[in-house]
Amino acid sequence: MPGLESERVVSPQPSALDQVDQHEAIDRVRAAMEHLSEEHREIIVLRHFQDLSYSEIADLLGVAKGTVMSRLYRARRALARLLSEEDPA
Amino acid sequence: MTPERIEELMVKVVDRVATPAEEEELMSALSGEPELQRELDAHRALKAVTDGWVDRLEADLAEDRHRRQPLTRIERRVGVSLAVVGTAVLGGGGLVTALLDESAPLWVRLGLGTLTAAVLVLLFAVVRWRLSVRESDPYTEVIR
Repeated sequence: MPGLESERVVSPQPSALDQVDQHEAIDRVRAAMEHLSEEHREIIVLRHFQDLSYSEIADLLGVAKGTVMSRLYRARRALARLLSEEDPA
Repeated sequence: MTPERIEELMVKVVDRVATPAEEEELMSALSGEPELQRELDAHRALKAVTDGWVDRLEADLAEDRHRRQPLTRIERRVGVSLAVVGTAVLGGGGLVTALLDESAPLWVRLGLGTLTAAVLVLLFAVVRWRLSVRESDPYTEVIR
């Protein structure tokens, strides 16, 4: 994904510049998530932010575990595309 | 390998829950597939950003919990109070001694007197400002 790949977003002791990069990356992801479909945003939130397992998400949404993984894959792909469209450099 | 299997493996690898065998399976499926490899990199980068986001939120919450602990607040207030009293005693005593010391040159006494007046005026300005904005302070929830 252009734009995010080069950013050092995880570091044991981030420098001030790393922190600025991380804040910008977070802001961009947050803004891009607004453009996701409700279904995709929901699965990203459950997995990435609430750290639920695939089985827990499947139980919560009443779908099969395979559907959770497939939906998560598509949500990530959609989000990555939104971010790359935003920053084609 | 079916597209569904690649999707499943990619999700697991990005989430770091894939077994070494599954990771190996995906890597061999992606060899010679630069488009899919780029997609995997993009998903990993995305995961790294959201992990950093969650880590930061958790760190902020831990910091906030620490600041709100009664012991932390008492420590801070006692420390600041002692520092203010110590500074006032040392500074005030030194100033008075120097001002009353007739052997000190006039320019030193004048300078110290002016500095004392400046500090008092500034202190008065701060107190007056704090009192005037007390009712409309939007940061009353902030723990200082």
